Amino acid sequence: MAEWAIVPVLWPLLTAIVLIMQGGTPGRQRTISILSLLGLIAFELVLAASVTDGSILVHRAGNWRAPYGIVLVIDRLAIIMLLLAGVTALAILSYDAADPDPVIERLPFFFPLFQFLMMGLNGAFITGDLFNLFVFFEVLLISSYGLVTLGATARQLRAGLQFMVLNLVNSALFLFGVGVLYGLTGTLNMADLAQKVPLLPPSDTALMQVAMMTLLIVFAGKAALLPLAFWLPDTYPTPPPAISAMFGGIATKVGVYAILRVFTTVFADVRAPGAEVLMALGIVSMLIGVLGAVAQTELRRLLSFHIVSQIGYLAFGIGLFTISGVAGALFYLVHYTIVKCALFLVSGAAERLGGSADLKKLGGIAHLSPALAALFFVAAVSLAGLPPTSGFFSKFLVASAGIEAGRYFGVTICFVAGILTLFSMMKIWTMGFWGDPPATTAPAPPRRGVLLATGLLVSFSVTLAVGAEPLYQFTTATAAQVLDTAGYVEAVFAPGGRP
Amino acid sequence: MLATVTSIVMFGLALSMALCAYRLFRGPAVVDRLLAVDTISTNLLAFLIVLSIDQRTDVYLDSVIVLALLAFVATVAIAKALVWGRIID
Amino acid sequence: MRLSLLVIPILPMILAGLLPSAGRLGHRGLPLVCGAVASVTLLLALRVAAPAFSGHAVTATIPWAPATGLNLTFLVDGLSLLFLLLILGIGLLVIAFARFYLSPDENLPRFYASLMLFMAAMLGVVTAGNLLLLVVFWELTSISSFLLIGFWDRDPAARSGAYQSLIVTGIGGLALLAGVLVLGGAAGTFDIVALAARGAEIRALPEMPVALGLILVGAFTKSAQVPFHFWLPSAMAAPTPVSAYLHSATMVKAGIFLLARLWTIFAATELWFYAVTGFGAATMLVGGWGALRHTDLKRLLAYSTISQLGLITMLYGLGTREAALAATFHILNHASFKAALFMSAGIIDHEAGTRDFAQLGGLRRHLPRMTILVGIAAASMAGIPPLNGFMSKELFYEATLPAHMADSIGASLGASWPWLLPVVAVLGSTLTMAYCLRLVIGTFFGPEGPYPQHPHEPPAGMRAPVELLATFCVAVGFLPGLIAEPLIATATSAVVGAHVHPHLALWHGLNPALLMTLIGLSAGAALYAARRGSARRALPPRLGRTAGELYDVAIHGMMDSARALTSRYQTGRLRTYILTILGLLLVLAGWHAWHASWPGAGGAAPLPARMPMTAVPRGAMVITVLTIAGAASVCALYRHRWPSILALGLVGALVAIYFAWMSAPDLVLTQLLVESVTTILVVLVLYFLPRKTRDREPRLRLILDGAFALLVGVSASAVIYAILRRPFESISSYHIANSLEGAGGGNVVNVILVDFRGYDTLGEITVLSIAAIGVLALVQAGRRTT
Repeated sequence: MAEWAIVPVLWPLLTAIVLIMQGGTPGRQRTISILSLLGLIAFELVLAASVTDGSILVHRAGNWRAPYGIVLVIDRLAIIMLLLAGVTALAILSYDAADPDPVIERLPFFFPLFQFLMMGLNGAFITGDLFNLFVFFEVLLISSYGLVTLGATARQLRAGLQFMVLNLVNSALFLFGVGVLYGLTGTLNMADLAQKVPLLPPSDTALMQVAMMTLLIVFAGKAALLPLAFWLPDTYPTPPPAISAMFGGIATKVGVYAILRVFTTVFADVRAPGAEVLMALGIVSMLIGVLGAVAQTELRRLLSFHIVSQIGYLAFGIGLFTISGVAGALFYLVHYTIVKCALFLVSGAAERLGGSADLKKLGGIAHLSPALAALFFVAAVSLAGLPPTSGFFSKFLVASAGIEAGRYFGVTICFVAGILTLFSMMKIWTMGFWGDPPATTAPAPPRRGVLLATGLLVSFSVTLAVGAEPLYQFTTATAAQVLDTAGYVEAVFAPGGRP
Repeated sequence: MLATVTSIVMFGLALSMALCAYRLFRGPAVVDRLLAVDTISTNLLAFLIVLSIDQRTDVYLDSVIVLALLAFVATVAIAKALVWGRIID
Repeated sequence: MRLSLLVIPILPMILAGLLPSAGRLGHRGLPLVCGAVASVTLLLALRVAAPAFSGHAVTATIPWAPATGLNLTFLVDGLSLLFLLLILGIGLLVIAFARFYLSPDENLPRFYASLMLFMAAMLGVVTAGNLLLLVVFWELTSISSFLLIGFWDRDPAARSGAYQSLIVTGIGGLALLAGVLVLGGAAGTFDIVALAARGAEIRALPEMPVALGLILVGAFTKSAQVPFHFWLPSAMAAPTPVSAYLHSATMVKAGIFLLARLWTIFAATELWFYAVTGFGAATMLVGGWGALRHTDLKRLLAYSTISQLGLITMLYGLGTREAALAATFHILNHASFKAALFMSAGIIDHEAGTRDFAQLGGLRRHLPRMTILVGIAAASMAGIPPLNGFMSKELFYEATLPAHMADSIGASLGASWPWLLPVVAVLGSTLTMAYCLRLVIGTFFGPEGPYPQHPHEPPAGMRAPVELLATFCVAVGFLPGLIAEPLIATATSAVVGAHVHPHLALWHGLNPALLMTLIGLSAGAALYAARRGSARRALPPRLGRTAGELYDVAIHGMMDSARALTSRYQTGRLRTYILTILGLLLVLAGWHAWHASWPGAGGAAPLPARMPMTAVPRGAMVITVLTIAGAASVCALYRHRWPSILALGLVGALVAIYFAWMSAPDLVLTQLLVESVTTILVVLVLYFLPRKTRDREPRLRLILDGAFALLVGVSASAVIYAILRRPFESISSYHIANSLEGAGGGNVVNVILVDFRGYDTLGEITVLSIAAIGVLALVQAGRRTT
């Protein structure tokens, strides 16, 4: 099975190439994209079947063995991320298929760029090499940039420029950090680094700390943790809803994933100061991010600030680096990806229905489309962490892991941010969904397919709550595997490849 | 003997580049600066050739060719932009 | 059989899920279906809970998420039974009432779905045997009550009332969750039965005060205790059936239920005694005072509810069995008379078209039957014999007497201030009597008001639930032993964890309690008479700033500061953003590097072995480096574009020279290519951009920015210098060794690019292609727009 581990990267790449070469109508491109995604998800499920028992698939690119070549590693964590990306993308494309966005329809390269984005995501999730992670960050960044500026409105271009510049600064820092690490250890493979970093002489500790903090800042910036999240609230609300949903749902999780992966391999032995910083950033993000959301009245901009806040929870959970903390954070990650994506999609539909993105002008969506309102309500309640949704379990797991670790301050902020989340989500509800509908709209209720696509995501959130046990067991097993650095190293260095 | 000559030539080229750099910083007109940069790239070309002679190698000659081809294009592009306000006809 | 415990909350929940698409049933069918399901649930509950009557708790556990400690554990004991009967019994009456109250044009499926969801959540709260499960249902009551209170969402008051109640109870819910997590984490279980069995051990835990404090915040917010009481009057914007249901028997009683549930565990602690008694007493008085101030009939009832809830809370706080008995009994009585009163208020509103005392009065001529019914319910609330309210009031008085607290945690209070609690109790009753008189007289007696519509008796179906409840009040008063005693006995036994044999009777003999009753009633009548002249206007002075206003101030302050804070860091200026990113990095990296290298901080004393630097001609080096620095600073300083670009070209050329010095011909080639192409591209871009010079910036900012940039640059250079001067070995020796043999290429750099790390190159090629596509897309989009 291991030799197939490269498929999640090559598959979207080939799809993108096919899409570019054959051109065709948006409808045809969409069909190809959806079919390709279905195939990819099916394949990833097959991969999942072979890693759930705890085995780790290692693909050696060019058959060069680690650490001399690049390895691709699929373990439980990677498969969670791959499947999440796939499912999110599928929901978004089906949403778009049901009610094609006029902006997307006009643009020739949306679908190839979307596939490139998938390639970047998947590549980052499965690589076992630090420099290769950088490469896929670039793939992700440049395709995101293309998607953010699709349509080329003035607002998009302004936001896009900031997005690009800040991410380039980030990339430069990434390169710097990797350079320092390479200078210290002479290797780039994460498993190899995990072995060599602990062996560094005490005189190198200071440089190693510099590398760790640099990479932490880089990943925290990618994940949009405050105070490094400037680019996000300006960028995410500007493109069409389907694109915002893809970004809001999965793109920032790459940063979170990278933190988790790198701090359980490369810096596993020396991560204590990094973990403290990570938790501090998480706490700041939780609180300040949600305050940012409280201050907004524009629908998707408000949701974008929530991303920052929610990422804070993930950072806090991961920063504990205990099995329960990481397991809770992973549960949170699954829940939140699904719910955030659903919220962006619902908001997009609500904006179209109400004719405005500004809450002050919206109103009465619940009267125009009760089904859409119901979907929003469940997703909003879930985001705020109230039962009976997956959000409740997520918050509860992260908080109880925090209590277990004696991090009472962080847990307190978890709860305070939770109530503020409820506050701002219900602000959307009371302002946008209740009240009198705006007089000017010509209401055309959202199409059935739109409701179906978002409904699937929302029902998934409820299912995650009803069936919390299997997922929690899986994330616990994943956390145990991720925290077991020796197991990862052993799998990567298992015999095989050219001598 | 050869080493001495190349050293002197390189020093001369460096000095020439430094003087051009001065002109580049001072201006006063943009055309002065443009000319300064063009001269610097010519000097750089010469410098690389001398370096090749000094080190008895031909590996720098690729760079020299590229420089000779491209530096000129950049200068022309800027000059056109300055003079006519357009680059592509 | 036991698993059918699960069915009790699930059945209404399933119905709630089905109702939104059952609009076809119509305004007659919907309440019928809901009533049928509630009845079935009631029968089922009675059947399942039969053993609870004889004092045996029924439990059942279904694993939900055992790894997290959250299980579907259900527990039905006497206390649950009392609440099950209240929730379902009053629920049935409310459904019947709503059938007539709500107009057929309303969005009835939504109403009944929310109502059934709420009923299910309440049933879940009172049957939960696992604290986490209780929290789950608890939050569900908050959500569903939000939907119910905001049912008339086109009314701004309904929106804000619903919002406020959700936020306040939501805060409480999270506090409760936090408290439960602390408690469960410390005790090792969330199972209520297991926790109750280890009461003494839990009371001794160091985490106990934190856990209890948080749990009490949860209970107090839900039960509208001071200072969280303000949401309840705001929630009066709800349709009256909702108010009748939520604020008599269910929503607000959830907090009371929680206090009763945890009584065995915590009642013997000082924190419990002082906090619960104190807040309860304060709430009783504040609520009573508020009920005298407001001119809206429903608001008066809302404040009276707050006051009565305070009374019950205070009783549970006292920690004696007698007090618990009185509290439990009063739960039943309050539910019956308050539901009747709320429904009556709805009827009056429905018939007279107003709930404002300024427009009411003299209704007894138009609504004679309602006058009697409201009179009975209000008399019961005031504690006038021979009604049920009188009996629980008597028990309440008795429980506050120092003699009854001798063996409990409150003994010291009873000894030092023996008069305190009795006085508070009488004061509470005085206020109650006064607002009850105001309610009855202000509505039905006195001169007729300017009713917006002509009042007449309501349809019999609408009045029937009120009649039933009033009858219940009287019946309990006369036949307490038959009707209430067994239920109250099992419920109280379940609360205190021991068998209690109450003797409920109207006549307890001439005792202090009777005296207190008499004082309270007459003082209340006197208070009302004294204020009678202004009975129609807003009454006694307000008590400073109300909690509701404080809430508004807090919310607005929070929103304003959130706005200010956000606009402060989200400036939209790249300069601030980059400054923050690099600044944070400098601080973090600097701090940790400093700590790591500081001897004694686990750091390293010995300096690394120094590697020699590559020898280069010093003079030429210095010139090159200085020119690079000069050109770079020119770039930064010039305000015009062309000189900046030209200076940048110089930097590129000199870097190429530097590479040449270092014997790296391929780098020279790459550098020159990139440099030239970049210059051409930048010229092209500038050509398309509007002509504009950079704004002149303040000198100080320039200097600061320059200093910062220098700091970052120097730090990065220092790190690189340190790296370069340490001994280095890398994996590249393998690459060199295997380049020709393994990969068939003589140039190891090429082989690394296309073979060893060919996968990276694939990625980079993709990046370039995507960039090309992106540019193409942008250009096409630009063409389209121009």
